[in-house]
Order: sequence, then structure tokens, then C-alpha cells
Amino acid sequence: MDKLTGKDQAEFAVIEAALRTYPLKSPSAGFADAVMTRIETLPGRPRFRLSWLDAAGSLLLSGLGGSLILLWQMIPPQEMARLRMTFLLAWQRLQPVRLELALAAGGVAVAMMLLILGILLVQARYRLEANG
Amino acid sequence: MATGESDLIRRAQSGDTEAFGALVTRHERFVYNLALRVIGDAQEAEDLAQEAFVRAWLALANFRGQAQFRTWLFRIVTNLCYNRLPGLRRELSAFGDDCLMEAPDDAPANADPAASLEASEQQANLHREIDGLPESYRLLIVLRYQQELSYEEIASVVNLPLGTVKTGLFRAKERLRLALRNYEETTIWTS
Repeated sequence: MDKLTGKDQAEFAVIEAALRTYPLKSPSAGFADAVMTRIETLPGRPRFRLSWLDAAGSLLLSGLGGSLILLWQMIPPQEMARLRMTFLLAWQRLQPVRLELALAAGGVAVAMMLLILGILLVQARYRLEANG
Repeated sequence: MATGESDLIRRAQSGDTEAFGALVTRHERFVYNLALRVIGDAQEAEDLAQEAFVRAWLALANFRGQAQFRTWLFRIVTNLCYNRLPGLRRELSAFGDDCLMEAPDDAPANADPAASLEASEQQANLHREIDGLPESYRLLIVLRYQQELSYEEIASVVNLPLGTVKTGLFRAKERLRLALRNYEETTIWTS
């Protein structure tokens, strides 16, 4: 690190004095009031609310899922083997019509997506109308 | 933290707008001044300072008191300035940390009364030069000399390494030194 000469020090003293006296300006008189007005007009934070219907629906769905898993676990091994065999046989029988089935499934999926899109569009339009 | 400030913050965190109003009044000048010195336009600076307080209100629950409330507010203002001036952060980062010579922070002030008039003219000229510096230098200068933050606090506010802050301030002073020399040469020639 280079050493500062006497001239350097004198110059820096002048600069330091200027920096320390750089004027501090004030905002307009109504600044704090304007901030508080903005804060008071802020929309309230949405509170988390769980309606009884949501609670009942989610309880039913989770109960259903849990029951299915439990039932699957309770199937005896012989019965499970028989089920697997039945499934394989059914799969073999479906072999010739697999393409048609895939197309039908794709068609159903596209129809479902269009339906959901339609519902969303109708909802959005309803919301826009409700908000004026 | 200033006396009573922690109490005001606690009350504001529980939704007391009156307590937050007191905090606004306490810090408005510093917040506005930081915005003004960086942005350079009084109206825009006022809007930005208001926005900073609104954001502080919304984020108050996240303030845990590890830093000073004032430093936390300055961080919000600085982030808003970064949004407003997209090149500012890049400019600051470009300083690097190759500071070769430490400029003294506490250099003695000129005590000669005969030179006071000349000194005040010099200061007025330097104040104009500070106004003409790029925003990145002005931000560092205001945080260091008007808000009297330590280098570490400035580094935390601008979210850059300590070396970058020191280099930025050093370069700002170097620019001012050059301006001072030019000014002195001009006054010698004209007198």
C-alpha cells in the first residue's frame, strides 16, 4: 500500500470535509401522512379459511385413498396371484385393439382438457363481470 | 437501536399503524435522502421512499432485529433503486476490490480561519461534483457519510463484498480529488 504524501492528506481532508457536509434534504411536509394513507388503503391480507365442505371433501378423499391402500395390503398372496393372472389374460386379449383404445383414451383426455378450459374461461368471465 | 424503537417495531409488527407512523417520521429524512441522492429527482425519490415504507410495513413480520431497523430500511431502498436503475448493481459490482491505497477517513479538517471562505467555496464546488458522480458512487457516499454506516453495514445493504465497497468509495474520492485539483488550477488562473 502506497504512503500518502502531505499534499494527498491535505486534499483528502478537504474532500472528507465536503463529504461530511453534503447537505441532507427533507421530504415534503405531508410525506409521513401519504405513507400512512397508502398503508391504510392496502387490501387486507387474505386469511386462510377452511370451509366445512372443503374439510369434509378432503377427509373423504384421503379416507378413500387410505382405505384403498389398506385393502390392497390385505389381499392374500394367492388371491393377488390370481388377480395378476386375470389382468395379464385381459391384457393379452386387448392386444389387437390397443391402438383403438389408445386413441379413445387420447380423445377422452382432450375432451376433458377442453371441458376444464371451458370451465376456467366461464369462471374468469364471471369474475370479471362480478368486479364490474 | 434507538431507545423506544424496539418497542415501536414490536407494536408495529402486531399491526399498530400508529407505531409504524412514528417509525416513518423517525426515518423519513434518511430514507428520502438516500433515494434522492441516488435517483436525483425529488418527485421520483419521494415515490420510491414511500414505496420503501409500504414494503417495510408488508415485510415487517420478517424483521427479526438481527440488523438495525435503519439498515434494514436502507436495504429495501437500495433494492428499489436497483429495480429503478438496472445498471446500478452492475456498476457497483464492476468496482472489484483492487483498492491500492487507503484514503484516510478521519483526515483533519482545515482549521485556518483565513482559508474558511475559500474552503466553503471549495466545498460548494465539491458538493456539485458529488451530485455529478455516477449513481453507484453517490449511493456509497450517502450510506457512508450521510447515514454514517460502517463499511460492513454498507456491504450488507448493497449486498456486495466489503472490498467492493471500499474500492468504490476510494474511487469516488479519487474522482473528487481530480475535480478539486481542476478547481484549484482554475481559481489560480482566474485570480
